[in-house]
Amino acid sequence: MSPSASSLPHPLLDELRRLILHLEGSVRSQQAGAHRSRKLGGGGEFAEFAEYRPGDDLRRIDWKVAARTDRYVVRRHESERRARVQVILDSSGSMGFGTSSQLPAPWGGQQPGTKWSLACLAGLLLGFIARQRGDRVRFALTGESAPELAPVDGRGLAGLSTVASQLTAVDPSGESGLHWTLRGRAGTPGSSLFVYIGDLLDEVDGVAQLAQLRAAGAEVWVLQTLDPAELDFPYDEPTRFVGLECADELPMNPRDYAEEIRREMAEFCAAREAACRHAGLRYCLLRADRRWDQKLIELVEGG
Amino acid sequence: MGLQFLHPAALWGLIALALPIVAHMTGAKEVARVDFPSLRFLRSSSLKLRRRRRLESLLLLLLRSLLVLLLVLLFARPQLSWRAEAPGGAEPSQPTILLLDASASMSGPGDGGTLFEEARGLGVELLESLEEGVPAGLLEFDGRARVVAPGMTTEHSMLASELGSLELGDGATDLAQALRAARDLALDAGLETANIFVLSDGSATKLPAPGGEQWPEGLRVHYHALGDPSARSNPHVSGVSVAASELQGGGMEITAEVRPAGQAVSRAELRLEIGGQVQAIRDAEFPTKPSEPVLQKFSLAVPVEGAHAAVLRRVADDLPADDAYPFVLAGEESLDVLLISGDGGGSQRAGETYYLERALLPRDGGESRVRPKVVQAEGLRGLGAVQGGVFVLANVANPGSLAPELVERVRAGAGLLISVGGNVDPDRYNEVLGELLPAPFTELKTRGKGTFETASMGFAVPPMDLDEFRVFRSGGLKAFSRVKFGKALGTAPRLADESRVLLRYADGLPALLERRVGAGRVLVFTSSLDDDWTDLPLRSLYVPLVHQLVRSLSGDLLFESGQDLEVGESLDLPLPGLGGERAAWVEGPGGLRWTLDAARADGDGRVNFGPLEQAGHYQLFWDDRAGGEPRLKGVFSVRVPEVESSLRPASPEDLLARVSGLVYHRRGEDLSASSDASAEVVRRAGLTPWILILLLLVFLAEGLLLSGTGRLAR
Repeated sequence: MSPSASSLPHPLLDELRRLILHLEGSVRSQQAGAHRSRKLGGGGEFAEFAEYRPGDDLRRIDWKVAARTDRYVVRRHESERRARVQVILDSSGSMGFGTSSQLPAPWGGQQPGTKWSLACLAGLLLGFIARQRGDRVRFALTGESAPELAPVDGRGLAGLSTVASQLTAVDPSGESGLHWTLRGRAGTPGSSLFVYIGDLLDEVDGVAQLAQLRAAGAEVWVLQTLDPAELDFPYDEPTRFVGLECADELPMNPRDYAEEIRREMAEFCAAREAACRHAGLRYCLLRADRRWDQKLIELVEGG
Repeated sequence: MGLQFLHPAALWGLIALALPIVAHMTGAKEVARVDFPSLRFLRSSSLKLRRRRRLESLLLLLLRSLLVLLLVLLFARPQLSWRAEAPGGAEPSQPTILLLDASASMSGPGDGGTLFEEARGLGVELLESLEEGVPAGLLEFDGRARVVAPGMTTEHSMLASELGSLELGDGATDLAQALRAARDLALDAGLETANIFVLSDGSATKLPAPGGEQWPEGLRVHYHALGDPSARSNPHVSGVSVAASELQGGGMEITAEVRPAGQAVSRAELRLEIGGQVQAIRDAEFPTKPSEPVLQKFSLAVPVEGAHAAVLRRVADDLPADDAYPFVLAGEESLDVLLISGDGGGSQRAGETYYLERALLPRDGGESRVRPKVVQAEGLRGLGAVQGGVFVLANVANPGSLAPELVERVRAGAGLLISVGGNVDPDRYNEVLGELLPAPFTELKTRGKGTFETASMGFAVPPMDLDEFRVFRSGGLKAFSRVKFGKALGTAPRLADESRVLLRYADGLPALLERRVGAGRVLVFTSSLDDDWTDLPLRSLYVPLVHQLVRSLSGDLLFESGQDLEVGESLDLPLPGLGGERAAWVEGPGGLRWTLDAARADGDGRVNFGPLEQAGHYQLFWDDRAGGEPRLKGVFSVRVPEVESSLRPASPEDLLARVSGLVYHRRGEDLSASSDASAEVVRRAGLTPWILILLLLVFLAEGLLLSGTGRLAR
C-alpha cells in the first residue's frame, strides 16, 4: 500500500511520505499476511473474540456467538491477534540537539535536524508499518506532564496526521521522566510491543525501567538516538558548553579532553547495548549520518 | 670558577621570560557558546584529566620559559672560566707555535708511553690552554721541519686532532732548521709576538749557530726537555763490515761495532738475520771501559751470492728505533768469461783473444771478479763442463759443433758475444747460428784499402740512453769517432725478432747488434776485436767498451748494491733508459713504493732519490723488457742516524747560548733563566654548544608533550 500521491499538509508527514516511497519495497513486505512473524500471519491458539469489522475474513465469524448474541464477532488466534504497539518518544531537553540538518537524505531533502525530529520520523515510520499490518499503534511522550497523544486511526499516512501534528508542536525540554510514562503500562497483556526512541542520557537508568516491561512479557525495542556530534565530539576550540536539560555551563578547551570524551561516550553506548541485550531488549543505535532508516527496516524484518 | 658573557647586553632579553608566564596565567579565551545535550561526559572527562592537564600546562610553561632563557643565553654567549695547570710558558692569549720532535730518539720511554707520546700530550695541553680565537700552529721535525696543515689557525681542536695523527720518524734532529721554520711561519702569518714551544728529548744533531740567526724579539722560544737521557741505556750497532772468511773453506765474516750509550751495561745481545731468518745470536760484552765500542764477529760458513737484506737486531732497550741495524750483505759474484779463439796466431799477440783477455783482466793476478779463460776453437768439440756466464766467439771459423750447446746455454740465460774476422764464413754462420744471429751476415765490407791504417771509417755517435754506452756520456764520445775500421761484415737489413742495432759505423752500417734469445742475449760485433780489421784494441775506448759489453751480457750492468745510508741522506739511482715502456721504481719499508721520474734524470741517466725518511731495506726495480718480469737492479739499506742513538742531549747552557731569549723547561730542575715546567693559566670554555643542545632537547620535549596531549596544532 502506498501513501496517497497527493501531498499532505504536514511537513513531518511529507518527510515520512518520501521516506516510505524510498523504502517502498521493504515497507510493502511488512503488510499483514505477507510476513510470517510471531506477531503476524495465521495459526496458533485461540486468543480472543473481536467485533467484526468490514474487511475481516467472513470465515472467521463465530456463527454460534452470532446466533446467541445477535452480534457478529470473529475469532482471533494468537498469531492473528492485532498487536499493540506503543511508541514512546523521549521528549527531554537533550533531544532538542542536532547538527545533521545539512546532511542530505537518501530519500531527498535533508536528514532530520535534531534527535527529536529523527525520533519522531522513526516513530511515525514504525507506526505506519504497524498500521499496515493491522496493529494498533499508540504514541506517548516521556515525562510527568507529557500530553496525551491521540491514537492512530486507520491505515496509511492519514491515520498518522493527528499524532504528527501533535508531535510537531512538542518542544523537547526538561528531563526524561521515562518512569512516569511507563507507570501503569507494565501490566499490559502480552502481544504488546514497546518501542522506546530516545537518547537514554537520563541519569536514571532507563534501560532498567524498560526491562520491567520485558519481564512482564512485552516485546521491547530500544532505539537509542544520538547525534554524530555527541559521538564524534568534533570540537577543538575553547568553548562554553551549555546543557540542554539543566541550566548548567561548562567552559573547557575540548582539545584537552576530546579523546577522553569520545571514549566515555563509546563506553556508555556499549554499556547501554549490553544492558539491553542482557535484559532481552532489542537494541539499535540510530544516528542521522548513518542509514538509520535501513537499520530500522532490518530491525523490523528481524522481528 | 667564574661565568662571563661575551655580549652581556643580550641579557635584557630575559624580560621576555614574562611572556610565557603571562600567557599561562591568562589562559585560553572563550570563543563560542554551544548548547550540548548532556554535560555528563564532558564533566567526568574534565574531572578525570584536570590534574594531568594542569601538570602538562605547568610543564609547558617551564619548557617555554627555559626556551626563552636559552635563546637569551645563546645571544649573550656565556663562558666558564677556571684556573688550571698548563705547561711552563703557556700564555692563553699569545699566538703559539708547537715544534714537535719526531726524530728517532723520541721513541724512548716517556710519560704515557714514549717520549713522542708525552710530547703529543704536552702539545694538546698547550693548545687547550689557549683562548678562543688565538692563532696556533704546529710543526713536526726530525732532519727536516714540516708545517702541519693548515699552518696558523684558530681551530685548536683541529690542530689537536692533527697532533694526534702524527707519527714518529727515524731521522736525526735538526733543531736549527726547525726553529727557522717556526720563525718563518710566524713571520708569514704577520705575527709580531708568539710563543714557540719546542717539545723534544734534548738530543739534537744540528743546533743553531751561536749568534748566527736573526731572531725577532717578539718570538719567545720555550724549550721543553722531555725525559732524562742519562737514565736510559742504549747499546747500539754503529757500523758493520763484511769480508771473506780467512778460514779454510771460505765463507764470510761479519763484524759489528757495538757502541754503548747512556747508562752502562755489561753486555748486549745481538742477532744476525738474513732474509728474515735468524742466523746467529751473540752477546757483545763490554769491558771495564764501558764508553768504548766493542767488536762482535759473526761467521758464515757458506759464502753468500748476490745481495741480501740483513739485519743486526738488538733486544728492545731504551731506544727501540735503532734496535734494528739494516745492511746489505753482498757476496762476491765472479763472472766467468770463456773466450773461444778462432785463431791462436803465430804469436801470443797475434791471437784473436789477446786483447780481449787483457782487457778483461787488466793485471795478472790482480783483483777482479771477471775471470776470463781462453780456449782454442780448433779441436773444441763442445763446451762440455766448461762453465761460463759469458761466451765469446772470437773469429771462430766453424762454430757448427758448438752451436747446439751455445743455443742451449744462451736460452738458459748465458751471454754470447760474437766477433768476426778473416775466418768467419758468413754463410756458414747463418746456417749454424741462424737462431742466435740478430740478422744474417751478408758480404765483407771494405773501407779504404781494407786496413784501419788507410780507412777513415769510425763509429757513429753511440746512443747514450743505452746501458752499454751510458758510462761514456762524460767525455768518451769522441773516442768512438776516432776508431778506424778497414773491414766489417755486412748484415741483412731485416732484423730477427727481439733484435736491434746498438751501434753503427759512421756510414750507417750496423757495428753492434743485439738479440734476446730465451733468458740470454747475443751481441754481434761485425768487425774484429783484435787489430786485424780495426785499431779499436789500440784505443783507450777498448777496455771500458769490452767490460760494458761483457757486463751487459752477464745481466748485472749497473747493479747497485750494498749502499748503507742514514735517514736524511739521498743517493743517485740509475734509470733503465729514456721513454717507452721502461719504468723504474723503488720499494721500501712497509711496502712503500716510489716511481723514479725519468724527466728528473741527470746527464748520466741517474735520478736523485731522497732524502730518505725511513730506516730499512730498499730495492730498485727496472721494468725494461716488454712483456718480461721486472728486474731487481739494486739493494740498499738505510739506518737511523748514529747521533740519535748516542743519547747525548744538547745542554741547557748550550741552547741558551744559541737561541736568544730561550726559556728552558724541565720538571724538577731549577735552572737559571728558566721557569718551571708547569704554569697556571685561566682557561675558558664557551657554553654555546651546550646551549644549542639544550635548545634542541627543549624543542623535542615540547613537541613530545604537545603531541601526547593532542594539542600539537595549537
